Amino acid sequence: MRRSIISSVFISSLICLPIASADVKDDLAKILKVDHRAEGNLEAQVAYDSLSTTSKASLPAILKAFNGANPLAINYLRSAFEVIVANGEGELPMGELVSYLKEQSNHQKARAMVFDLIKKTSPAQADQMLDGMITDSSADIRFQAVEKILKRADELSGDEKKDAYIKALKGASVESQVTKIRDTLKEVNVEVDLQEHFGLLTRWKAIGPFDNKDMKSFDVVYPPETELDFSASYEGMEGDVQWQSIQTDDPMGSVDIAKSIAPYKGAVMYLYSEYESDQAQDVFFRMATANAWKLWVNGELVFAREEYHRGMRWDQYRVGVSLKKGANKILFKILQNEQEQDWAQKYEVQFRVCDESGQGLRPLAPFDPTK
Amino acid sequence: MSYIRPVLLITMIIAFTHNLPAEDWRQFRGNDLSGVSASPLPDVISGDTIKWEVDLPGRGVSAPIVVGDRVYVSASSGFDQDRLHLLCFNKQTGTQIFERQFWATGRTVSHPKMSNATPTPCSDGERIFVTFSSNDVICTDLDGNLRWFRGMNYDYPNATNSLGMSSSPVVIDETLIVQVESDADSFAFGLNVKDGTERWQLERPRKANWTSPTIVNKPQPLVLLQSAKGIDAIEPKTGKSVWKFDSGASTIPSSLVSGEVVYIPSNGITAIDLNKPNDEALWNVKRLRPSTSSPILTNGMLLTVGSVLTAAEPDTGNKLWEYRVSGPFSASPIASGKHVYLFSENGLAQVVDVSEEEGKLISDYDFGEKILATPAASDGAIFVRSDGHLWKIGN
Repeated sequence: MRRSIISSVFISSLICLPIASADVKDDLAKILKVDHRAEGNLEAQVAYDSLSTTSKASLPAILKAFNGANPLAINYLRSAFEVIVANGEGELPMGELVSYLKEQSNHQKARAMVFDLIKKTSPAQADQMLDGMITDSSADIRFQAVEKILKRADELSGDEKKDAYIKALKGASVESQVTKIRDTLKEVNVEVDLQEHFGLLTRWKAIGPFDNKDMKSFDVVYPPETELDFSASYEGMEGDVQWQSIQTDDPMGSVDIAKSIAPYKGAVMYLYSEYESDQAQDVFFRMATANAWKLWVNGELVFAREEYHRGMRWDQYRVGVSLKKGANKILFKILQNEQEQDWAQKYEVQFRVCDESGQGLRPLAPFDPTK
Repeated sequence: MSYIRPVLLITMIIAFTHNLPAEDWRQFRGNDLSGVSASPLPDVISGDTIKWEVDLPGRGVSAPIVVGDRVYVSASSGFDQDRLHLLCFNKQTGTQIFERQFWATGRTVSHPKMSNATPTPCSDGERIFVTFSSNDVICTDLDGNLRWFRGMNYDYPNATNSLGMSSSPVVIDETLIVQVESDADSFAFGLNVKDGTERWQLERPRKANWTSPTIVNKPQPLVLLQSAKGIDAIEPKTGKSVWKFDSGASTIPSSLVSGEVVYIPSNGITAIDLNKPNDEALWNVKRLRPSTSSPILTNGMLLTVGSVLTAAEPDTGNKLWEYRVSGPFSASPIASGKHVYLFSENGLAQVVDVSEEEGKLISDYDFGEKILATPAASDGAIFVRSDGHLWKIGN
């Protein structure tokens, strides 16, 4: 009789456990189904309510679910993770959290979230970990690792300071950090090639101007969109036009059409470059321009943007692209309108190739626009 | 026995005031979008009237909102401005109740004066709706539990603005109205508050637009969508257009509704009669030119803020006076009776008495930080934020 009571208590306690792993899996599966235009939101809401009342033991499963989740789902996962950390029963499974953080192939944002949690719960441990994170796959964590080195470097002098800055440069991919490092190293006669560091494309072929009076040519198909014949001549806005080479010396890779070619108004210019990739890979093109634009990669339109003169900012646009191994053809259509204000005269682009975290990727060989 | 009466009275007063419903300020410019507080606000802003100050993460141009005894505020942080924050504080004490973080799914780039957290959140009293320049729309319950998340930029990648988006949503008839308008793709959405699904979606003029929708209740509850083309008055639940004002409007300051008149920042200010919106305008005054701040009506005066504070007659638009104030201003003013509260970009708070023959400065206080956000008001207190701080100002 006593044994049966004990068994009953044990079974009851099992039933009353805050989580059952099958339920957590089921909740996670529902959350992972959220998608465009609110698809799966109601089901995810129910699953979130169930998941976020589980114990801290479910945190590793939530982290695992990040890998491969879409940008909407990771926000549900993050929120459930936060609520459980704040309110969930049990102890934080620190060992599993640290293991997740250490595995570089895990979700970058989730790893940064775990690192934030460790910073909050064990600041000294997090600070120590940063020393080995200068080349971390997470831009967020790398940023903090670089900040730590720069802060320490400012207390150093001579070669020690120089070496610290050179070390920081290895992990720096954020413009403000990189330019600070460049400026400091310049003072000790160490030059940083920003074009190379950021993966900027600086060598292009250019052709134009074609007519864009009254901004009518965003969807007009001029010959460079249908054929890439670099020996051809076409009728342009001001007479016949041919491909010419253009290369920028600007440290930040700005290709200034207005200054390097002419300050055309109501015009279309095409820029062409190639990126020699050592492997088939997914990369990001990060661009900046105050002009309207269309972008083709290997003959496929990847994005088009009809916006004029709303500013030009570093990494203003980010477009995910799949590159093939070998030469990848990049055609950029840049449109200028006829606004007369001083601030509406830019006819300029910046273009860089980088990984998801913003680290510049160099091509196997630079493109030679003269060939 | 004589002492019993005062004690009883005090007890009754305490009991009575504790049972009073808290005065909510549920969206940009308050529940009725007028910017006018129902309760008297402090005459003086000074170190003594700052009741509490709390730290905020990252950056933020959004206004705080107040629901019950809680103040909610959004922020964005990270070198990419891609960390989205919703923070909740106790209104009385400033104690943080919770913070939730999310990640942006859309473009976070903006003019340095703006930030990803530029639009002001809103609430229907049961939920908090937080939107960002990245066009992420987040719905939580009052305790910060996620109800749903929409990435309008994730769904519509070209509905973005390289200077940033600032339109603050409104909620009415269980519908969250979100304007996502740019030079490229441009839309307005009516989202079901329960799950974020679209009740309706409207194509909008392809022109960058930083204004926020306004609500009118005559002849029926309608939402006024402002754009460079003018105003489109729509039914909140269906998105069906009921009337239009086609004479163009500003794309920065938003319209003001007071009584049965809509004051539209259009060619100066244009006033139209809500009962006859398709008739000729009541008046138009070109010299009444709000800059970034939206107009306000208090103490029987229509006020606009640019380099000067201008008072005009609401019935005619005739100018009454101009008073030089210390700008520039990004925040819209709030008011209580004869007092108008202005917060300059340089962080200078100015309380102007508008009951005089011209404005009169009665108090100013330098917060020493850039202030771009419109304040909120609740139960006689002002809540204002900079990037780094949220303050409560009260008597």
